[in-house]
Amino acid sequence: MSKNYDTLVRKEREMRMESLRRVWFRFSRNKLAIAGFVMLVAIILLALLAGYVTPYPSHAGLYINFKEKFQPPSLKHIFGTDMYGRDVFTRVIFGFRYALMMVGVVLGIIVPAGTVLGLLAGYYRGTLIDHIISGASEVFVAVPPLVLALAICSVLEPNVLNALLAITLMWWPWYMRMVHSLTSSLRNEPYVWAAKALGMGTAHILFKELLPNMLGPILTKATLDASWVIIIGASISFVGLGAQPPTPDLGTMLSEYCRYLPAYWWMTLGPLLGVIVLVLSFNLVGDGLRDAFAGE
Amino acid sequence: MVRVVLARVLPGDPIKAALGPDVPEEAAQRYREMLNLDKPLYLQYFYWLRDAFQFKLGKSLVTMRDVSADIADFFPATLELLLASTIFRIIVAFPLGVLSGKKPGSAMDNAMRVLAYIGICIPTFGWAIILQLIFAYWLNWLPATGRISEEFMSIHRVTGLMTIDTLIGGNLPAFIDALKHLLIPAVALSIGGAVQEARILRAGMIENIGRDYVLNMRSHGIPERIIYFKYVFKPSIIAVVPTMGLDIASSVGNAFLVETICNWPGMSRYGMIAMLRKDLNAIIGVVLVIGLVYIVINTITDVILYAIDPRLRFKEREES
Repeated sequence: MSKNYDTLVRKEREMRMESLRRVWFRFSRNKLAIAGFVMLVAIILLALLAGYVTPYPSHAGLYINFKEKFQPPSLKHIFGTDMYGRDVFTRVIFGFRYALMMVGVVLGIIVPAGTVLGLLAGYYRGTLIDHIISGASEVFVAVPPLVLALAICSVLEPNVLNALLAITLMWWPWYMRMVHSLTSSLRNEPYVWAAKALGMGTAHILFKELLPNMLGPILTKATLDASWVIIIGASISFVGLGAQPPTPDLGTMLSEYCRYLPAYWWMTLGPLLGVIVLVLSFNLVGDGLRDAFAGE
Repeated sequence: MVRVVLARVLPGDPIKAALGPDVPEEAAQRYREMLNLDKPLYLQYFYWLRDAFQFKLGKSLVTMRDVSADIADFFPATLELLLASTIFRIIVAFPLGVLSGKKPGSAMDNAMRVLAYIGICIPTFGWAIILQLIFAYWLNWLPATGRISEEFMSIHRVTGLMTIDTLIGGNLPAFIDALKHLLIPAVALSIGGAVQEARILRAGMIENIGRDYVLNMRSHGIPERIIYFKYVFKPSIIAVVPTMGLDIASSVGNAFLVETICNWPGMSRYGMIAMLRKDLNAIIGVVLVIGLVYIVINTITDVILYAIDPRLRFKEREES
């Protein structure tokens, strides 16, 4: 019995690996997805090594050199310089750091939390647990996410940490809802009944039987949501409720620089391009993942 | 409701924000008593709940006017912006979707795909900045900020919607002026979503044109135009409408940034200013109204969906 069970487990693991390999194969044949993937890796590397690869690392924070202020784009300063004579390109690369950190923290909290809550609520659909979790999530989805995040930020001190808190608070319900609906549609599948009949515990059913079958949608949503986190994070700091100058955050830079429109337009263009490239690469990867998982 | 408690518990003293940090303690105390802020939390919540049902949202700590009066003043501008952006959304999304769905793989279709990616990766406030830069500053075609030029400021207010007010007054130059001011924020608010919706419509068109009933109609010699616009277009919209509803609803949130950038005197900009000044009553009032707008938009979406999708109606009849 135990030997048979072990072979079964091994076989299942092999099948899962096989399926992941198929997903990777399909992903790697998708030119757009690979382009996005390469872009994303490049951005992450740039952000990590920002101190070494940027031409003027000291320009990221407080730095003043009025002699070189408002210089148009040139070979020396690809995106020009800003009102304090700082190199905009350097600051944008450092801005990637903040954007990626935001994505990492927010997704690192809401993906596990939302998944667990969604699994619980979906598995115990109709019971008190479901009512509590779903009820709590409904409070947050009654208002557009951006408004809620802005409102939360506005009553807190404006800084990066609180912006993170606000985004995390407003975003988890969407995960929970997706996992909830997936769980409630999967919970009557034969394999779940079989696990129950074998006397498996609830934790085993939730994390070993149900969760692996939703990996595709969860991963896809996480990648696509990364771009929303970036946009909402940039929006919050754009209005002055998130990171404060001289932090080289993309949104903060945009709000600082767009005051100098139209005369010094290149300053605004730099951070804007930064946001666009970042969001685009996450979207390409996310679309690729969705297509790759679609066949499984 | 939880939001109210949350807002009151969180740090950040609204008194200090309203009167400045160096306010003498007595004055602050008087101010607190005036606004019931010295009462315990549950009483504050009760007061607020009682007033909210009567649309008494309390006084704004900054303007010292009733929040509901402020919102009533500023709401029409936001409504106008939303309506205009919805109209733009529809006139962009539907033709683009139909055209690119007609011949998949054509130049038009490929251009659409590029557009869709551009649309998704430029945030709404990015569009506002870009459009301002190109059309207002470089080409000088449109005004960058504001709602109407100064010479038309004295327009008689009927509905609060500038474009309609000017039309009612028969003042054509003022109408064109108002329309020009409306263009940049409305386009910025809707273009990103519109190209996405066009993509969904395209996918629906391609899927539906391959169905058996289309083949059947073709074999009966029904003109291609009628097949396309009557029998393929209609079921294809069904997938677009919910997305469109969601996008329009979330553009209520994006309006916060667009109105700030374009200096559009609407409710969202008012809310934005309130947020920057920690004006709690105003924030809560604006969030409440936006929640209402959100619900209204979602309800309208459901009604439209019900009207265009006969399957929903039949399903209900069968069940009853």
